[in-house]
Amino acid sequence: MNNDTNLPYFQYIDTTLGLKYLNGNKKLYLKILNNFLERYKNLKIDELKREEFKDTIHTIKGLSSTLGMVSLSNLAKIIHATSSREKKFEFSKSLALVIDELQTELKQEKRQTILIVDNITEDIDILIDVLCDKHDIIVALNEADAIETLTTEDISLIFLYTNIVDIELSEIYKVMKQKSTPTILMVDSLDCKIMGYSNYIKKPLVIDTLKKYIKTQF
Amino acid sequence: MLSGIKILITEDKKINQEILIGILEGSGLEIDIACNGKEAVQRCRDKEYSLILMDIEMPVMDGYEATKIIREENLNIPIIALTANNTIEDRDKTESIGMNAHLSKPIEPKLLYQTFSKYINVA
Repeated sequence: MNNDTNLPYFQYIDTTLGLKYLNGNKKLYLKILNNFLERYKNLKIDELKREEFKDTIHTIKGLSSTLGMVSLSNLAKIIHATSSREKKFEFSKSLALVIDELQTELKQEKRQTILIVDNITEDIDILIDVLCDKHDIIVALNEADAIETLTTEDISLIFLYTNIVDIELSEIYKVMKQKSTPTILMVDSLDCKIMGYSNYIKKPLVIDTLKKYIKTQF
Repeated sequence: MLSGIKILITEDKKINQEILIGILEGSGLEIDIACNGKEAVQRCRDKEYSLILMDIEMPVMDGYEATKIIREENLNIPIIALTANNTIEDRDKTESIGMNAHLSKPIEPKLLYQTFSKYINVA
């Protein structure tokens, strides 16, 4: 059982009910809600053939009741029991509301991981202070650690201090290119090495300037 | 109490398999999965299980047909229906076909564990 995760607020999903059916396991609940979203976000009820329609309604009937999607589950039950498509419009509308809500709330739940590649303690502290509320942070103090992190973790953005590596020749440059990870260079001077990079900030880092800059990046 | 006990979950939908495995996490049960009735029949021939959780509506072979075959070959294994179908007719049918109990989705974990305790013979 894992209760370290906070659940978002849902209007169309009774999370108390859903949690009851998932043994109080919030992590499992979020995982299954994500699966539900992936499975049904592109569903076009009108385009389903008779057997597909029947099977889909049957599956959603069980699943939605387990997950606390009460209205959706009730509509699926009616359609399943009467074998009619009369409630189809209402069902599609209810499903769309649930999907919209999941898309909004679960997206907010996902925290991006940012890799800081720097060896100046003061600057690392500033970056962590500014970024840690909304993002997970990994710090690499050298190129080797940075490459290892990049190959093993799902990194959304890199802050890279160019003084650590020769940006054009280094291995990390190749890995960054290969993975197309967005990168913000941190530079001591605006020399020719940063030509071609549109995203860079000049050191020393200043909290207010950094905050404004970061706002434009997300 | 359930540690090391082998059960078979017969369920065609991956998302429902994940729910059941998640609910039973930490129970100590050894869980195998069959994706339809035909697979369940074969698994029961290959391995001895203490209990089968059986979905009803599945492709290839449904839970009723699979239960008939398994019951012919093994009179004693507890087979528990776990299905979103929950009418009186559905319940009558699971009983007449030879299933030991009928659980409906959504299933309360507490009831699931109680059912295991009732039907699994813990040595």
